[in-house]
Amino acid sequence: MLSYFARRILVFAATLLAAALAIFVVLEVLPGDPALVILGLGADDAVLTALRADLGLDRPAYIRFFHWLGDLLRLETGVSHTYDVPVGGLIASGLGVTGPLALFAIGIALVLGVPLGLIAATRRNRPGDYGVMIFAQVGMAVPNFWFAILLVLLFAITLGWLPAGGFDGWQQGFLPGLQSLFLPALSLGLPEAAILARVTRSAVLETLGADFVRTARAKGASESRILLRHVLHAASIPVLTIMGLQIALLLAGSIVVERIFFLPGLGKLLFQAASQRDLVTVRDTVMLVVAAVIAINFLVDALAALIDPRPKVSA
Amino acid sequence: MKMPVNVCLILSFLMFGLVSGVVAPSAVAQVRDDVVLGMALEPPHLDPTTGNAAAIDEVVYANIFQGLTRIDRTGAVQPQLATSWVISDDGLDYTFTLKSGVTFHDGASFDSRDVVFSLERARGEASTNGQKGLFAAIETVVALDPETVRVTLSRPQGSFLFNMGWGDAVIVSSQSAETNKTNPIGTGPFKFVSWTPGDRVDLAARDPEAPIQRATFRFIAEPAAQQAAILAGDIDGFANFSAPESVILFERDGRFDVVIGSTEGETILSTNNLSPPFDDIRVRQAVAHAIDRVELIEAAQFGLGTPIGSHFAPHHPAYIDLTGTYALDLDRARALLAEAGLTDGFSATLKLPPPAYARRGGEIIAAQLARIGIELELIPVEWATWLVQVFRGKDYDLTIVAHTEPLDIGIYNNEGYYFQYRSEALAAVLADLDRTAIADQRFALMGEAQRIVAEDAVNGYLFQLPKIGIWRTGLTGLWENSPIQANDLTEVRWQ
Repeated sequence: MLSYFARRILVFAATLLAAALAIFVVLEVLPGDPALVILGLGADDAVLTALRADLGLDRPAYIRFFHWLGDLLRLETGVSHTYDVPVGGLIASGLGVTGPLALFAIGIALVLGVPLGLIAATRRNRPGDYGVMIFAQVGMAVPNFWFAILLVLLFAITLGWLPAGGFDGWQQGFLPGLQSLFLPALSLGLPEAAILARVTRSAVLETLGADFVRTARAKGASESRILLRHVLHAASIPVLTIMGLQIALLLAGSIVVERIFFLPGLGKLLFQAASQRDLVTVRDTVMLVVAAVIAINFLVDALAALIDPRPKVSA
Repeated sequence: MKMPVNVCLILSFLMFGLVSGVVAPSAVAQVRDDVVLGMALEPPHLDPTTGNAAAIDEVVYANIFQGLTRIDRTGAVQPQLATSWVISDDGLDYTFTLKSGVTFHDGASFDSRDVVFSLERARGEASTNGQKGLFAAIETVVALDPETVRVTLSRPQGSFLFNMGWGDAVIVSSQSAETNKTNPIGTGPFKFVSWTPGDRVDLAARDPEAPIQRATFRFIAEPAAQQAAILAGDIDGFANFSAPESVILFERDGRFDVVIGSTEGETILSTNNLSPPFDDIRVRQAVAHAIDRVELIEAAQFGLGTPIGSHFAPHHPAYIDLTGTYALDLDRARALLAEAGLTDGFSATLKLPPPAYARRGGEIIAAQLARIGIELELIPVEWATWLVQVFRGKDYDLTIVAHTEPLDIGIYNNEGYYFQYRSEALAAVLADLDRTAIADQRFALMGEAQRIVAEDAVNGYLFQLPKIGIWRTGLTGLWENSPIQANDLTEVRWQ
């Protein structure tokens, strides 16, 4: 078991190093000069040179790479080219929005998706099933940015119940915070709910035919006990795996959704930093996201192993 | 078996109702003393004396920071921190008398040393001022006494007082200059309160009697989101709204005022004058004859924008209408191409930066030039790529961009500028302009310069970018035009 974990951690570190190299190289190759973006059309050669030196861009690439690796090892972030403040603070404030948004979206996806999948599976080939499958199909097909605009049109403009966007921070209270995140979370969470409904449906259907379900039925267990205790338990493994993958998708989706709802989150930070060639912010933020996705997948694997009742074969 | 599933469903819908339903109706106040304005671009930081982002000035100009002079809503130069000035007969010495009793927001008092510090910093070796050229003519800056400063120029410069009114030339204190990026300290009527990157900047009035006590700038890039935020009442308006396609919607809505003004943005089909066949003036003239500005403005700008025939803003007193220099005439255009030996037309590239005027305009221009046999390949590029490839690298045939600096016809004389255009006649006119301080003579010379670049068909001259102001009825005092990039709040109030 110990060697298993040691191996996992080695793989984790190697993946991070590869990711760091890839991120750095891509950003180096990308056309664009941060100093030029800052100075724009008025750029004067002397000022450009001064600014490049100020930003540390006059040093060779490999030195900047090793410098960055050193920072990463010490868990330190650089100073943003555009904002001229430590990236750590920018990431923290972005996470304060994107974190709750992603959690909220996953919550919506779970609360809608799993029960709908269950309904569909237990009413297979009946109207309930068709209803859920139509929802799932539409939910997956509708692009979330378009859905977001429709939500704003209805809830913010026509009904005036919710703000059209923005986030005033949690210091305004929990409920106002939840309100401003509700529409973005819904537009992020609904497509995920659709996917989860489908996955749950097929996982449950597959499990319903398993031997242990037949045994449980033979022992006289009630249908609801079979469904909730045995079937859902076993079906939760594929559902969990898909959810792990979806978290990475949620982070990508937040780039679009945060733009539409003008939320000051991680997605907006990343988008803006990339278009302004704020290389320091882009690489630190992407690195964090990469680490988070790898860590989440690791956690999901561990959880799935815990849930799986079958005896584990030691590697 | 049905129960738990249904309970889950009911719960989830309850959650929906709970979150969306509980909203307190907004209280109706008497006269508001706060204003929330939207901006499309977020400032990277808040120091106007470093970098070149227009969004910085749109937050801080005249609100937080002030210069020796200021540019007012009509584009005229007005006294600000300098109450008056005397210009020597040779046009080289400017003696400024400074306003007394002025303090910076941190309590430090303002005097001539701050002026010396600010100007020396802006033109110094280590300067990262985005418009360092504004200070190029300065030879010395001397404090004669705490309230008098003398600036000596190395050569006469007619635009010097105007230059000192730019956001890049504001006066900062030596004590706070280094931290102005995140905590701007100026002499203006509004103090900086807080900045949430990606979201907003909050300002508060210094004078407790001022009609606007709290001002907020919120950053909303997406045109659809801008529209939604105004309609939902999250913000009071946009001084510079990004979506001309939605203007009609606001015009029909009695809750909003729509004010279409002008900007300093000459939108041009920039042409690489050294890239064959555009190095042949006949080819550039043919392009000019083929451009249908009315159609372009209708299709790409939904009718908003003023046609231009040269590189000059139509609202400026020195403007002359040169849109007839190469009037729409496809036969003439084809004849010119034939003269240049291009009877069968040719193909070229058109690189398009992200703004909608460029991407939409590019499609129309391509269709118009196709009529005379010029086939354009449209290449969308990111802004950062555009700066490196087109602006610095001059690796392009044609591109569309709005040049937003005020009175910037001088760029045609910049060596190595991306148009790659040289004209001795223009250089002479601009040199004269630099030496002249008398308004009438300056205007005549500006007219001369406009005519030269128009006749040489250096670029395709398309339209002046409009300033689309949309705000709640009752809000007054915002600028109609933007002679410089600013959201001056000093005259804003609710009625």
